[in-house]
Amino acid sequence: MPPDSRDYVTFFRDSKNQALQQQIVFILLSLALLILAGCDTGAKPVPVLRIGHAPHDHHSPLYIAAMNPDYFKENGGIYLRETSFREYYQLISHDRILAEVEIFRSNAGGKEIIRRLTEDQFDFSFGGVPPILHFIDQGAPIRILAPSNAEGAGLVVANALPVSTWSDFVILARSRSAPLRIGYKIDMSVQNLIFEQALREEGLSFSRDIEDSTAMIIMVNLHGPENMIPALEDRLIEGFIVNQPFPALAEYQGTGKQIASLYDLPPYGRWHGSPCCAVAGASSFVNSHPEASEAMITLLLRANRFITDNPDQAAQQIATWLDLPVEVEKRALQTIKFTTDFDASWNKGVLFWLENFHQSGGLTGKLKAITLPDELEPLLYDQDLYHRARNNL
Amino acid sequence: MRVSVSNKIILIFSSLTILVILLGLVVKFNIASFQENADQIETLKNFQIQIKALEAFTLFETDSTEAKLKQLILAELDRTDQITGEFNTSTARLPEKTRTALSQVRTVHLGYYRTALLDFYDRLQAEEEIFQENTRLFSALHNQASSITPPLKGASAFRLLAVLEHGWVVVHQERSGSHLAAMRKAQDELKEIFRENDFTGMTGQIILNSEKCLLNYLALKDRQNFLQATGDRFQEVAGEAIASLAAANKKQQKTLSRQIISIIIISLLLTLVLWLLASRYLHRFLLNQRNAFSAIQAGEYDFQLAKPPNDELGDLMHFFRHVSHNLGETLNQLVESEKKHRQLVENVSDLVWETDSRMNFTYASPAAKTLLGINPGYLIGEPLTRFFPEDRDPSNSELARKFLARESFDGQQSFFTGKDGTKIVLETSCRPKFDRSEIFRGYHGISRDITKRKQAEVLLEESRAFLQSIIDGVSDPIMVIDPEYRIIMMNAAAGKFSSRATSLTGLPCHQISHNSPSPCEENGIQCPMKEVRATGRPVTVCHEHLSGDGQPVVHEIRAYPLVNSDGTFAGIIESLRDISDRIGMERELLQARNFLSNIINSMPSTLLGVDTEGRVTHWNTEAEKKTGVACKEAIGKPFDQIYPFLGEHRNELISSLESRQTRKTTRFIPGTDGETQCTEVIIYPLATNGTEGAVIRIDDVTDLVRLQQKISRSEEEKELLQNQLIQAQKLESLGRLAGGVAHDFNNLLTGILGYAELAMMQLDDAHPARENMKFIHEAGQKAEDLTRQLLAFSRKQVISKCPLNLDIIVENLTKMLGRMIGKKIDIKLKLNPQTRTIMGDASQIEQVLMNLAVNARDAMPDGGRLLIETSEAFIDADQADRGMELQAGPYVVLTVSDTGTGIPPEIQDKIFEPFFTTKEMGKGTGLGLATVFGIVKQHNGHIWVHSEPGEGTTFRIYLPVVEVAAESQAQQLLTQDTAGTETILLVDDDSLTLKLIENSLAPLGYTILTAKSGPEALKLAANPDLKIDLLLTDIIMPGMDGKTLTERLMATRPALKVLFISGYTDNIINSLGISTGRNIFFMPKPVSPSILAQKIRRILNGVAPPPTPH
Repeated sequence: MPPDSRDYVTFFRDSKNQALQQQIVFILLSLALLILAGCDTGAKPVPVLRIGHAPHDHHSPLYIAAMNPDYFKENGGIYLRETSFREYYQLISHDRILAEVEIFRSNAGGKEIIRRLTEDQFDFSFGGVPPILHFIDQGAPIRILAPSNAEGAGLVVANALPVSTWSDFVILARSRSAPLRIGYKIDMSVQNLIFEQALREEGLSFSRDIEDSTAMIIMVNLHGPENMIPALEDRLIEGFIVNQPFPALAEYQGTGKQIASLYDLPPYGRWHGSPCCAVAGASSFVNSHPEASEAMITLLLRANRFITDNPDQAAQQIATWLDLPVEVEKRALQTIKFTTDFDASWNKGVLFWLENFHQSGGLTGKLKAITLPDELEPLLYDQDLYHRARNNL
Repeated sequence: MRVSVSNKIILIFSSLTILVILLGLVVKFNIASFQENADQIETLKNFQIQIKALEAFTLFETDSTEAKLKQLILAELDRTDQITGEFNTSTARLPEKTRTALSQVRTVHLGYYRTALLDFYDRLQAEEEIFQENTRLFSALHNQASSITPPLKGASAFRLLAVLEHGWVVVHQERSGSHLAAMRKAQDELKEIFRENDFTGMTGQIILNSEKCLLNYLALKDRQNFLQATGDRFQEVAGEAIASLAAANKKQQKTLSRQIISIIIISLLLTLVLWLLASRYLHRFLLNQRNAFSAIQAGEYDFQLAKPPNDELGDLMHFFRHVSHNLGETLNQLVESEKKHRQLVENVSDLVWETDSRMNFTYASPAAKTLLGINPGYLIGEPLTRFFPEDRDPSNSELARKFLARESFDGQQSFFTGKDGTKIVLETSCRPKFDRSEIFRGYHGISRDITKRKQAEVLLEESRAFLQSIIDGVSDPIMVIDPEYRIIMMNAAAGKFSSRATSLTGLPCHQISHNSPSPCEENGIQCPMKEVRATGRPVTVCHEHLSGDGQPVVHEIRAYPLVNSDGTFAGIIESLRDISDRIGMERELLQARNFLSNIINSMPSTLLGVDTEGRVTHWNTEAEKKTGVACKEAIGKPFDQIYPFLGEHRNELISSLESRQTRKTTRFIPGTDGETQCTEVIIYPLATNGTEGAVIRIDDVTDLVRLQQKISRSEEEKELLQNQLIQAQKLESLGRLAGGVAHDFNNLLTGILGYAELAMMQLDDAHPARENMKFIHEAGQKAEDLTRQLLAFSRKQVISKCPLNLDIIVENLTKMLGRMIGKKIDIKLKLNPQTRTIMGDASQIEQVLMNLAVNARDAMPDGGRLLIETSEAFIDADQADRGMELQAGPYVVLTVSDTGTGIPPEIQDKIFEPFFTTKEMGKGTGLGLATVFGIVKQHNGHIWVHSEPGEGTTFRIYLPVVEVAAESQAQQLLTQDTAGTETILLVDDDSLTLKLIENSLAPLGYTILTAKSGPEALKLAANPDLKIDLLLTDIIMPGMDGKTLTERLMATRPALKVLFISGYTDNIINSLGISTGRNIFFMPKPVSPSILAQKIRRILNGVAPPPTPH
């Protein structure tokens, strides 16, 4: 039965019904707003910064940065808060988490660690400058972000070998009927390049064939620095070339004696201040996370300064990180020049590596045709990031 | 914007449908996306399983022998090949990033992995070879040791070999070099025992093999580490990809959920909004409806609507309101109408009544009481017939019959007898009432008391009969006509208009008088009806009527207005009289008067007739023209009032009337144009047929008088003009002579000056002849000046006129005049600031001033005063006629007066003659005043001189005013660049001039073609390839003149530019009909080479050259 028109009017004019209508509208609108608010995306996720290193002294700035949160918090406000020792940290800048840091250890070092950087296994990585140059030449999207150190490697021979200097070594090599066996840790390392250049300078022939009796020096690949000292003990080799802390450790253990720093080898003076290790980074990460990148590089540069300014404390902490006697580190750190600047010696050394690659046909990619420093610089370095970080010091 | 209800419904359902479709599409898209992600994850899991099968550490289980390892490696290599092959197809469906990462696994990692496997295999192979070799060597050594004697030595050898063998086992199995030193020591001891190179060599080889084995192991270990790392990397990449896809899936799920929730919320909100809008919409509609009903119920038909929508329902609301409004208005009107009618009915003096179907009263108006003496209430329910008994009167019977027949009727008379027996006559009109079924429902009607009216009608009829008898006694026809032209009464005399025997009453008057069906006015005949009606006064008109026998008769009709008692117009009363004879006589008289009037009006004289009182009786057309007063206005008015000019003649008129003598007077009066008019006034007295008065005739005899005066004056002027003619002829002949001489002189001077100038240009400054040439040139220039003065006198020089202000010229020249005439003479200027512009050549005017100033200076050797004045004067025609040789009009007057010795009267008429001078020989040329005279005449002016010996001289120069503004005297600078490469055709019969011009123009780069005559020039120009830029030609030449030559050449070369040169002035151009213009120019001789070159350059450049200096 259709309602009387008066009922309609009464309904619509009834204040209670109007209030009910308003309540329904209010509830529905509130519900909509709540649901829409719930649909909103959360805060921007903190990026993960993966840093690769080899467990030796040249990559100490990372260990120092990780082991001195209080110091760096008070001095600059950027520090690493430890989640798991030697593995997980948080990069914090002025109480704000900029990145979750994962630290990866790569025993091989040398070319291998940079290869892993180029394969996106790391975002940042410590590594030797020559391997970094090699991969940049091959087109890898990485660049040098900061310097780490110069020098810090030596020639160690068995205690029984009657030599105490590089000159003695040369004389012995020339006078011996049988070749001298010198071990090295991996192909394409800074130490190899320096030592082989020195042998050429001295006119000493060398070979990698253990049965080659005509060569004066046999270069033996021991596939890792950890094999150096046992091989020397077993007289498998008569000496080795390697970066710190292994020379210091050999001496500390009495297994061998360091007769020369590699950076004192001929051509004399060429290697002083010459770059050894640097921090390289994937351009993709730097571009997508500029703030975290700048903070991390700033912190590593501050760690470099810390080592120079506090050698004993640094030696203690590095020894702890590497599980070595502190005496070894104290001895080792004396031979390493940690730096925060791409100075003239650094640039000269980089040009030397490139020249060396050129001469040996090692450059086949985009660095092959470039010789002018002004053209090289943007390919090799992220100067913008470096200068921003450098200005933060 | 108007949106219909159907569109709104469509909009609502469309919105909801779109949302549903959108929701469906989102779900469909996401399901497809999920499916794709699931496929990708499946692919990756397969990949992961495959990679997991490759894991390198399975190679290094402790129980694996070298042979087994090698077998495993070979299987691994096969698997890597298989995986590599499957990559291309299985990774196609993966996201780009994952595909890139996996591609790197395929191209890089698997490559490394394979290489490392091969390296591993090689090293295993090498180790096996070393192992074989050492086994072989140990066997050989054992054999050799067995043959060693004495046995003790052999035992030592075996012991040492055992040390070696143990060292080898440690190296090979334990991968340690810790026994290498012992092995080397054992080798040294064996060397002591055997001292055989073979034995030593074999032991050395065993140790070397051990070292190689150790190093090989390090390499194997390195490869092992690498393979492990690579396997881990495979897992890592696959894991990352799966995690990435899973994350993407999760994210997409979340997005889908959000989208679905969003769409549901939007749907809910939209539904809510639509529901609210619809609810509000319907609420408003229903509210409006309710308000409308309530308002109508309450009688408020103009209720307000609450924001009706702009659609059909809104229209419905508006329509409803409109209907309500109309209903209200109708009801109001109905009520008002009912009220008004009730008032009308109840206030009306007539009885209004109503009956039912049984003819009983149902209503009776209050008038029943006054009319019938019965209360209306008493009548209700009473039968109608009771008041109209049939037996009283036949008319009552008729009324009863009509009631019975249910007829409708008007004005039915009946009788009613009141209570007091008074008979009342009623006039009733009524209508029967029927319902929708045509069933009779009664009558309603109105009854009026006409008793008094009936009584008045009787009286009126009696009065009418009495009146008719009176007018029948009048002899003239009398008719009373109503406004509709119908005759409503007439007397017996009027009956004669018609031959009819019947009465004419009621017939139209025009039908009787003119036998016309339409009123007289419509037939162009004057009818008094309209005028009488308009004025209310009697009107007399004449009509030609047809008499009863059909003969035309002219009647004078006197029409009087007939008005009702209330003043309204009721018609006219016409009284007619036959005036046919009188009319005939008046017509003849009028014709005679018109004839006389035409004669008077056609006379050239002003004629007016006056009576003895001086009032105008006649006024002819000429008088109208002279005074501007129409005849109608003039008649009857005093003549001297209408024509004040004749006021002085009133006495003459009186005298003439009295004496019966004609009076004649001649008067001179100023005319409107300033001329004196001579008027002759003649008065003729009249005394004819008793008409007293006079005729005044006025004639203008000015021309006649003037003619007479002129005849008498011409004799005096004849003598004066003759003298002036003689003087003019004398000066003209002198001028012609001087002009002719000057022309020849100019030709000569062209050569003299030109060659002198050329010669000076060619001579060095130090050349002795240069000074002589300079003297020749200067003398030539003086001769040129002299010639110019001769030309000026003879008025043959070319002048360049432009609008000038004399004041400016005088002011500018004053300083120079001061220097020229010296300080002893005081120059005074008296300039009229309102001096108007003249058309003249400024340099010529200056020449005039200078010549007059020089003469004044010579006349004042001891000093004096020179006064220069400017003023304006108007020369009238009379003055112009009296020998001033000027046109009548305004003139600027330049007056130069000195206080010098004056000019004797006897020589005053010779001073303007050339070469007439009173100065000593060599001091004057006698051309000064002649030049002034010539210049003034060339400016269309006049020079007048007045001089008294000892008192000084005054020269007054009249120059005509022009109505244009004066121009500045700035001259264009002549261009100095005169060189050119164009071709000029030079034509002159004078060889000297020809050569001179050629020699002066050729060095400037022009190509000069010369011809001594027109035909020669035409011959040269006949060559069509010859380009001629300018024709430079003399005008007067034997055979063919310059004009003819120009016309012939321009016929074929229309763009040709022409420069005429002539010793004559530009008058010669005008006289030959040559007009200078865009391409034709003139230059007078003598010709200066430099000025000629400048002029030619400007002409060729297309720049209008300035006037050539003279």
